[in-house]
Amino acid sequence: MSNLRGEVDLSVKIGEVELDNPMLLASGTVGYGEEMAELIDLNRLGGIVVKGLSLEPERGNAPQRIAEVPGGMLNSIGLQNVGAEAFVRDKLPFLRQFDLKVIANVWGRTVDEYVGVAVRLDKADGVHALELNVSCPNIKEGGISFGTDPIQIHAVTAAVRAVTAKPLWVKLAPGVTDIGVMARAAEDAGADALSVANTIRGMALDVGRRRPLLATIYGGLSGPALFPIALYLLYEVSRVSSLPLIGIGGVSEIDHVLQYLIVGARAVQVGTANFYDPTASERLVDELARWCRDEQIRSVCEVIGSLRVEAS
Amino acid sequence: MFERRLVLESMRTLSGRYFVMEYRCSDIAGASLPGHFVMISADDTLDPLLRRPMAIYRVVREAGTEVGFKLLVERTGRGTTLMASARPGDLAYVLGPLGRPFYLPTPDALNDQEDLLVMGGVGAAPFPLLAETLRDRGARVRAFVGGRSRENLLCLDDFEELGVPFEVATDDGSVGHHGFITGSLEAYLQRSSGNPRIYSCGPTPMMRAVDEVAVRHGCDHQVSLEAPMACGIGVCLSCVVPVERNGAWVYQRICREGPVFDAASLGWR
Repeated sequence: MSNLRGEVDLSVKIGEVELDNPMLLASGTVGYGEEMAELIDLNRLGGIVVKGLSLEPERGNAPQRIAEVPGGMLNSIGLQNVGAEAFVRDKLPFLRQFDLKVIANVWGRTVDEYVGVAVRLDKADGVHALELNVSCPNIKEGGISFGTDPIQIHAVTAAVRAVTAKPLWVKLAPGVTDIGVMARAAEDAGADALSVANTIRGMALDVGRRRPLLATIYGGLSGPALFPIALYLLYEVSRVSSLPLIGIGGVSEIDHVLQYLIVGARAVQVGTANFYDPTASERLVDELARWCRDEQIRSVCEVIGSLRVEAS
Repeated sequence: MFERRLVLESMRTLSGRYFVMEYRCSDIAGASLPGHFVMISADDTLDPLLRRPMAIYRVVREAGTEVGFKLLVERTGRGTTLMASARPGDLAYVLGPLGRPFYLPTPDALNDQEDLLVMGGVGAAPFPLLAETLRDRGARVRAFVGGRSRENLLCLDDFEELGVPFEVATDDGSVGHHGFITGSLEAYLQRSSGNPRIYSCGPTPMMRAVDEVAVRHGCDHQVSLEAPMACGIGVCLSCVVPVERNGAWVYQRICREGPVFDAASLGWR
């Protein structure tokens, strides 16, 4: 049993997107990869989902933009980004040097803006998939307002589907009554995969000053505190959709990765952990391989969807 | 930039709620310049979740080689309270050095003007390393140390050890000039000649007041800023500050384009 690690196959497929392993860096937590490349070997990851891109550069929200809460943090960055054009021109060449899949997160204030970004990225060499952000809690229009209405999810997904041949992932919002309805709307409109989920809205105060800590009053909760919520949502989506799923929310240790995979995710995205444990994603690849080896599992695909639930 | 697990070498409690942590790490120490900072967590808890940004306060040298660094910390909330309870031998997670350090005068400009370091409270943390670096290059350095009260005046021992003259001011008049440190700075500039270079760090109202003095006396002024910050490396976009660039303003990251900024670019004037 020499070179045991080499015997574990960590590769997974999200539709036609083949990942060397299930570990992705989550949008909004790693910029466009440049800074993370100083700390980790991007070649060792399955992929990176870059900061949400809009048609024009976006300045983002006024500070204060973050607040800490037990086991997590609230953010209200407001999707500050360089814009799709500058991403393709200035950022993508850097990422093309690496052997990992690049997924471009896309957002807009209107359906036309989503379509405009998708058209620009559709021609971009080195973008392997688009992830539609219909779930950002921190912009006044667009974002989450699409993600909480199945009719709008369907409309924006179908509109983008019509203009791009690239694989299309839809990143769902957690703060909805029935996420299954949203998942079905995206699937019916031609999505190739579903990312579950984005941050959930939250709020925190400075009691002494009786003021919200965030300049925008509320923001998106992320970090380990989000994990059980997102895991449950993934479970709900897995019951109604046959699409490949990606688990997002609070991943910081191997147990989280495994729980997402067992529930049915084919990949996971590491987000907030990049902030407080910047080498976590690379370490989790090693730990996943070790866990599989210890369990005498040859392919991580054996873990995916292996949830056992007693019939009631 | 290095990501390291480090063992706390020593812990020294200062007056009030201030303490100094020393870590051994030749990588981080060797790359640290005045104004740099580290992101540090001295525990494994998820509450608080994030590391804390701390300025490099001193670089420890042995036989001319950098072997470690010190942080000067004020106990203010959950994170720093946990840090205050750390004991020698305890592990910490440290990422650094980070940020863009102070611009230092070029050798030919060094003797044209004095270098005045203006600080309030724990904002003093980056200045002993800056004073030491400037002094070693032959600059004429002077420190202006302010605080609410006697116990909030930090780094006086450091400046004494470095042979850097200093003036102090307290809001309550318990020691030194009774009032803000900008009063001492203003008085000094009125009785001295030239246009000294000014560096400041402390509460924002203090730095803005220092900037008014700097403008009045035609002095260059660099400030070291702080903001709630999740990552320290420029990926979370939390710690932005509006900065003027080519007539327009943009958000720049304190952790990456700062923490040191030219005060003229901050829209204070």
